[in-house]
Amino acid sequence: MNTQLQTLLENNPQIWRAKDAGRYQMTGTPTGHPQLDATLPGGGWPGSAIMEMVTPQWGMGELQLLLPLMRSITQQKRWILWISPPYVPYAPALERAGIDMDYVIVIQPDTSCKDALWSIEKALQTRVCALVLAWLNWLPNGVIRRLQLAAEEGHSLGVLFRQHNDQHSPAALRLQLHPSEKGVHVEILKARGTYHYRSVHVNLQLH
Amino acid sequence: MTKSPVVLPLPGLLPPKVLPSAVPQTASQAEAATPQPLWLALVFSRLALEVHNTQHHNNQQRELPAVAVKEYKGRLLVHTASPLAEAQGVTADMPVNAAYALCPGLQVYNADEQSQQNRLQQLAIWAEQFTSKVSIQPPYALLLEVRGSVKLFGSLAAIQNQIQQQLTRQWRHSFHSAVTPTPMASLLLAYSGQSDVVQHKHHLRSVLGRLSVNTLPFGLKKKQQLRNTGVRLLRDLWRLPKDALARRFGPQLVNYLDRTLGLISEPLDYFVSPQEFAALYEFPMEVHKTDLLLNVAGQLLQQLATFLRERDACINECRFRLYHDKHAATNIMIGVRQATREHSHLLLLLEEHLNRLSLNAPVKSIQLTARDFAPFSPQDLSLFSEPAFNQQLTVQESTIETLLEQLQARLGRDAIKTLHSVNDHRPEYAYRVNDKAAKNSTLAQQQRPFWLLPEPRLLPQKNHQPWLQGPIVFLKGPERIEAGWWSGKDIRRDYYIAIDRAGSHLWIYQELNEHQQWYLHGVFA
Repeated sequence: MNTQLQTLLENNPQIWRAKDAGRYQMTGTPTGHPQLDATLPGGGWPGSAIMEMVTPQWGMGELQLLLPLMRSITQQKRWILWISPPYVPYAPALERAGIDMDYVIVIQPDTSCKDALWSIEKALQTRVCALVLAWLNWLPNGVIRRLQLAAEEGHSLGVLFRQHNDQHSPAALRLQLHPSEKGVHVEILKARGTYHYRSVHVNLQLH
Repeated sequence: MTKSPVVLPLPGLLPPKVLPSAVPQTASQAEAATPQPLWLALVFSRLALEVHNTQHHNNQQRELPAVAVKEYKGRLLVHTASPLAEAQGVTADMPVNAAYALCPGLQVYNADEQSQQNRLQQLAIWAEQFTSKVSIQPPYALLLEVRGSVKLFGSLAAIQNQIQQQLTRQWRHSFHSAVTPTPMASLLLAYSGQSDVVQHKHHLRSVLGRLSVNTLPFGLKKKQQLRNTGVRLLRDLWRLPKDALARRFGPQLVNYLDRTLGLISEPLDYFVSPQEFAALYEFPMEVHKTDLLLNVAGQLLQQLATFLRERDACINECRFRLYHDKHAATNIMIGVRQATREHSHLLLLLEEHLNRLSLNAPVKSIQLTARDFAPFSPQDLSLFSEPAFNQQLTVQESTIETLLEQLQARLGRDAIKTLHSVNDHRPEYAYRVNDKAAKNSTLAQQQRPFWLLPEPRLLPQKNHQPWLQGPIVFLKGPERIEAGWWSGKDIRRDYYIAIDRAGSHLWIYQELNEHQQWYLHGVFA
């Protein structure tokens, strides 16, 4: 490279280079899945953010992916809120997986969309609610941005489960799940803090 | 209404001001045991004029001589004159024409009783920040019991200082104040323009003694009578025997003097502040945009916050009313889930309401009302800004409770559920909703899915095999569940774990009866 250009680049703090992006250390919460930790920036789930999980249909292992996180949250005696789940979260199975059901609160599926969004925001803002899981169809980008702010305020993680991939969503992390033989294939659609979007296979014991 | 004449102190007759330190020790010690009330009287002698003064152009009015007039037997008489008007010779009870002759640039206002009373009430509300015992003394005086507040404010002088500052700067009222242990003596001193501070009852005689009998609130005839008998100052009255005074001038005079000296206790009607807050703002011109409304509404909310702080109260809801011309008023209710008096919090809520509001007519005026006050309990304020999660369990409990409260308030009681497992082999009976006590799962569980369908879904069949948008591949099974025959809801099923074409892991079962139907019961997520 031209030496003049080199000095200009190095001595001018106002020039941002994509190469430097990896240097920013982000600390994530370990996912409990080593393969996934190695792929995600910060080595885990983002803290204080909104995350999207795109699955073509329910039952891909999306809850299994979050299971270690949920387990540690209820052990810390913080709450998990499930908003508009598509089916009944089955308490015996969740308890068997090590989740303390005392710290799980479910908001009915037939709640109106506006109320559901409001509930997500409220729950994210409250610090005692560490994880908010929501199944919603209608999610404009402005709403996600607002939820993002709420998550930052409450230091909580919001996970939105969606069946369609929205290219322009402002969520901090977006994952697409593909079914595979032994577990799930996780494709990173977008991750804050990196531009190396890779795919990773995560072994899951679904049953 | 009679204007209290100016007392002319007679030189040489004035007793030296007795300082509290010069009191005989025995008496003060006896009084110290039972704290006496201390009454601060505020007399607004120019109230009739100043009612107009503060509402409009303060600066202009200061410069121009002004009078408030009142009709008396068909003639307009001067009721109150401003200092500038007085300087030019205008006095009370003078016909207004004479006043004009003396002072051509005179501003004339109507002495409106009602507005004076309203102002006095506002002043009483304001005075409640200094003491809980405020009494309105018509026509234009207030009494404040300040003994109980001395400790809070540090000293009596500090209270007087604050009153002085707020009255002159914010309210722009001229006033006289006096402090004595009896309400009547305070009023008498303040009405006659003396600003004495008398801490003990036994000093009252000497301090009041120098007042002229003209200051007494009796008719002209009685005062003339007193003067005719050679009584010019109150001190002269002290010297006369009571029974003779009563016989000659009537028992009211003796009674009044006894009340003034504190020999007879004086029951007062304390001011009770209204249990409703109402503030109105009229726009100088009609307003079309909501952002202008927000600005004014913020000021009204600020007033409300001050009002609530003075009462140590908070509110659960307040109401804005937007008045239009030829249109019904628009109502905006602002409700909070936890009682508050935080001005910024209410403003934020109002902003959300206003953003959604579309005005169908321009707004003429805006009113804020609030009622049903709740006592303020500062439970939100924690000593440390951020509780550590693992340690402060109590704080945490309270916050999740408030969150649930909020959710419940908006979504309804039934919308929020907790789930717990119970001992039952039948999958659909193995959990309970909102029943924490039920939680005891000791069954060695087989593999179960995270999702359970609320009702098992009947699967279509092809060639005696279940079909879900394609063939289903069995992975594990069967697991036979056969239970509940004793309850009439018995089940006999063979459960399988299967995978459909899209890759979802399903929990399906086949009824072990004559139909042999296939059902989808859960999804492994």
